[in-house]
Amino acid sequence: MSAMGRVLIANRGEIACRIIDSCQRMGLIAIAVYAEPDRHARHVRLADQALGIGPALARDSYLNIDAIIQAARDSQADAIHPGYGFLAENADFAQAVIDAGLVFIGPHPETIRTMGSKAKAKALLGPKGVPLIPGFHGDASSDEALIDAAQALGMPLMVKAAAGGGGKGMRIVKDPEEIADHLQAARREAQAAFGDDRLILERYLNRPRHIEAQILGDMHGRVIHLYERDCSSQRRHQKVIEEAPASRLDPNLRQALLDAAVQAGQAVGYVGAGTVEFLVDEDSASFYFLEMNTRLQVEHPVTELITGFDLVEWQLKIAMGEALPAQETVLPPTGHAFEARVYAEDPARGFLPATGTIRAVHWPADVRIDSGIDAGDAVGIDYDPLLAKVIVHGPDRASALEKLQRALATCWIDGVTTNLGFLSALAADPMMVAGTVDTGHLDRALANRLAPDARLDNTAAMIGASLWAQYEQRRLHQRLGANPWAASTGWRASLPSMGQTWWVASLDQPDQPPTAIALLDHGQGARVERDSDQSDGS
Amino acid sequence: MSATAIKVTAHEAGRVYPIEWHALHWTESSYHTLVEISLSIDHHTIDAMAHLHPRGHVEWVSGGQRYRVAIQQQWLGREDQIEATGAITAPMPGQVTALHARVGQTVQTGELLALMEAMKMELSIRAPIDGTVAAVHVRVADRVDAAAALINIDPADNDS
Repeated sequence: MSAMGRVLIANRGEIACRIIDSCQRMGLIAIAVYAEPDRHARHVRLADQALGIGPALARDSYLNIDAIIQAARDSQADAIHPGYGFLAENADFAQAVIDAGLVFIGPHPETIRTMGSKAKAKALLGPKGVPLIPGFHGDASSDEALIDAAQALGMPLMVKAAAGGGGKGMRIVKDPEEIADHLQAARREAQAAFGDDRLILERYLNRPRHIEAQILGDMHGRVIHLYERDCSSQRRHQKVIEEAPASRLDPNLRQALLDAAVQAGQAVGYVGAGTVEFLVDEDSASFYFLEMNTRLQVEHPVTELITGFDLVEWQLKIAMGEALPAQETVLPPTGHAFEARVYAEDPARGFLPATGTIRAVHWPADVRIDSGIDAGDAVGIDYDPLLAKVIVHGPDRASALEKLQRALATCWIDGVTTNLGFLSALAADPMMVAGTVDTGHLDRALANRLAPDARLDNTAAMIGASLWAQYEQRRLHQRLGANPWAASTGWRASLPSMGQTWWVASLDQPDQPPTAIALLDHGQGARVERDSDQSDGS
Repeated sequence: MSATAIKVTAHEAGRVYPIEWHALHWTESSYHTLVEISLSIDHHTIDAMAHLHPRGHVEWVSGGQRYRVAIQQQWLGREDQIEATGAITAPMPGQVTALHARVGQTVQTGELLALMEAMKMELSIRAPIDGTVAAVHVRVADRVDAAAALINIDPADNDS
């Protein structure tokens, strides 16, 4: 086993904080790096040591391989944990870490390189028995070959960039007449996004679920799985709420999927924590390999809650040479877990990123919060808008979802607009409750999801005003004692004139809001009124 | 149910009805107050987790919807000013509909001095202290902004 005492975390935000936590619990020294705007960020405060690696621009800091290797040398780090995003799936970075004589917490650079190419990954895994979406995965560069393949496949189908991900260079073709145009457009997009215009074709699946398996591989050739996660709640290919295990999944299909994930891991001699993503087509009761992520996932905590495995701890142990337990000794999943991603973004304005300074934060006490922020922190434009993750566990899916709804309602972030309201809406969505969400559901239903409840909107200002009246009354009680109106005139003189206070409540929404006023008549009660002109017809 | 819950009456388009509070559980921290509420308003029951911030923020989640309401304080003058000078300012933008105070008039705390109307609500402007009306800055039918000076009262001499 290699000695490892000091770990540099080449990341920021909630995942850096999460990794620091496991390092410190294992008695390792956690070293943070930061770009200039993050000088006082939460991950810097939590770490045992922190080093600046450059200016705001990620290219010059969190993506700057030389600066990070130098920081590792300066801080005498033994190992580098890349987190997710940034350099986590950059084979050159992994190689540079190894060349510098340090341990890279992740798989071999060659594994990263292979899995980083969809075409290479499929060429490798197909013959090993991992099911691939029917399609054309050859490295064909001519449109003619692709058109011939498309005719053999049938419509509808997907055109995808061989090197890509994240929806770029991806097009759905429904009409055979249009394929040539789509190929050209996809080539242009792929070239622009990845510097590589090679394309693949795949059969288009109607309403698939995104189900992925968590695997772990050690240096001794053992690969195990830690069950699956359902990440079908996606907005434009970005996961929003994830859960584990997947609900309503045929046991045979689940076992086949988990076996295929282990097979994929074994095929590349996988070392570390990885995720094998599949699309599940419920119509045909089949699943297809989508891609493999050679890193820790954002949604890894739901797996931790149902298995009891600390995935970061295991990443570190594996890097130190420790052997994994046998699959047979891994207990069946316990209960059900959900994770909701809290983003600094404004759902009312097309989910545009929101910025500002966090004035105050309130988190629920009885759930897991993986957070990258505290009160006083600035949320800027430079990095990913993920602020925190709300992670809950319950004995079954229904109680876990109820816990998530309650936890989301208990979250409060002051100073920056967040998607908390959107998350609450999604957690209460009938398809989410039924467990029937597919990967296209959110994008199809988003308009309806966000449409406010008209009845409640009409009365919302009045509810706010009357709640405020209760709050004011309570504060006066606390300030002046149990019953100030029965007390001496000295008390009375210090009250607002005749004990009446007025408050104007307005709904904080983009469209013209109805407004209510509250009159708190101390000792008498309160009266709330809505301006009837504005309420007409709304 | 908190002992501090007060009766709240809703007035809306000519209808008057009570807002019924079934539950009101407060959890306070140094920076905000969390309150679990259950209330009935106009035959609808709303269960929610609400957040209150002294700066004037009310935020709650109900039926998968998060609502944010901004609250602006409209005091009948500030208590410190009232005690010091008897200066009465408009609690909110509105129209002066009646004026009972005349300069030189002796008034007692609570005496009706003027009426204002705003957002279809009538508001009584009463004397905050005993004293003498020193100045009246408005006339009936004047439209005034919030915090506009209305009436000044010289405090009664405490020694006499």
